[in-house]
Amino acid sequence: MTVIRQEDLIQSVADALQYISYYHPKDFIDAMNAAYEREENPAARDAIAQILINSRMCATGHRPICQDTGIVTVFVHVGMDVRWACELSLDDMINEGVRRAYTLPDNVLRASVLADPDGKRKNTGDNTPAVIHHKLVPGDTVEVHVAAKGGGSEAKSKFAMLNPSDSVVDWVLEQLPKMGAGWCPPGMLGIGIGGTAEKAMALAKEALLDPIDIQALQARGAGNRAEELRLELFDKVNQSGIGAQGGGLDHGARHQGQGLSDTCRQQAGGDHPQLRRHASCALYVGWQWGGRAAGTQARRLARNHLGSG
Amino acid sequence: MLPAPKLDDWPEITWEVGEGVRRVDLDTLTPEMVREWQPGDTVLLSGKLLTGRDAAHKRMIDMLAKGESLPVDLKNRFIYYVGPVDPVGDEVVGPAGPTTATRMDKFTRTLLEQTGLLGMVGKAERGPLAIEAIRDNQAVYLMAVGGAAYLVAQAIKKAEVIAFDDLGMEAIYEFEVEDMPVTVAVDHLGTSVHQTGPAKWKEIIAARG
Repeated sequence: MTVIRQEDLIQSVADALQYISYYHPKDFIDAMNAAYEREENPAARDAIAQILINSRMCATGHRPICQDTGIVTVFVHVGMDVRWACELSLDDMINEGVRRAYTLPDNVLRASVLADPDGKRKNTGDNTPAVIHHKLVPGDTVEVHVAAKGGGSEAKSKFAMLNPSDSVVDWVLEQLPKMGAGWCPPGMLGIGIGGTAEKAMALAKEALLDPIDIQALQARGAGNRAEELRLELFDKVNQSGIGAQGGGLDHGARHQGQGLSDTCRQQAGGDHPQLRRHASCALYVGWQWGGRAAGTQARRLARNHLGSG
Repeated sequence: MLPAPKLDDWPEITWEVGEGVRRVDLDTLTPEMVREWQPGDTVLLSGKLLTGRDAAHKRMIDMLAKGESLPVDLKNRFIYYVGPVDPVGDEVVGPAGPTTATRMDKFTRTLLEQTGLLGMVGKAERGPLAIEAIRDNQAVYLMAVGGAAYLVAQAIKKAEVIAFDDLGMEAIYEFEVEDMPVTVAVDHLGTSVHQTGPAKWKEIIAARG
């Protein structure tokens, strides 16, 4: 039986958070570079150049991509066959990892979390607590996905209770012009459909973790309803002229029209009539995998498999 | 351990200053000079730049409402909306990119009219409240690139907290910057590139079918 030790989990979370503070994932860099090659608006092209140069500098300097190093969001999948050799609770261990990462002397990250948010608004000083989502799954491993999502994109989150006859595409297109540019386009859209209000929001957030593969999807064509929706959204969103620093052409990295996991479709079309009556729909924007940190990132995730402790 | 990516993963891009870029000395800037700037112009800022974001703005507005004088003279100065990361090693400041400017919209008119503040630097668009205040006061709003925080920090040569140090990263700093790249996003007439830009590009894209 796999044994997970407290120190291993804490250090893994800390290492993953440090890692995503200064490395963009390759799929993001490739998509951004493709956008740079294609962009015709000089201002947008200039902004994308700065983002790519910044990204490379951070990778070599081991300093954060953005000054907004985010609120930590963790998706933890716990194999039901693992055993824990720990004194702390799982959440306390994760928060200890956050504390360790954000106060690391060689690469201090910004603490952006406030206690008593409608009162004294005092900074907790170490960016704890994280927002943690748990899943119990079959197996004997623990999988931890960490994201550090900046406020600029998080603050643009949208939610709606749509009628069964409403169009999800229309709703998304209606939201975009109202979101301004504080989410630092070019970026990603994460969309969750179905379930209840909080379920749709969680699906939308998790959708931002998926790899950027919209070009591959365009090449092979849609194989299901979720993929049809992604392609339709990608085309229509990119016709809006919304882009980096005041608009531009379509960007590879932008508007992936993400989301719609299996869970999501199940929720919308399941056997529960009450769930079908209203399709709750949520929209998150951000940069997948370490987006432009500031303000903008939905950074993904370093993915850590904790095996035999 | 998580594997470090290869540097070859990043494209080799050099950032070049285009023709017609304005190099501006913040220490000798006048309102007349600001009125020459056009929407979309690239400006390289050098000199002394103040910082302030939500908490510092709230406190300044409260002080002005009570008739108190501010700890910093804002006359003909620029405020950069930023909450930097703390420095490590020999850095003067950590990554310091712009934060969303619309959160400061409701404070803008009061600051422009009561302190003589000349302009602001931030991320993304301004809302109608701020745009009208900028137009009425012939001020200007400049945007830096959100998400290029470490790059921007290279342009900051000195950083000193000069007021509200209890606010931590939200304190008012004075930065000494050199060739910090920004773009004119709202000019003194209230023209916003976030209104003209998407409209223009939507048309261009539509015309291509």
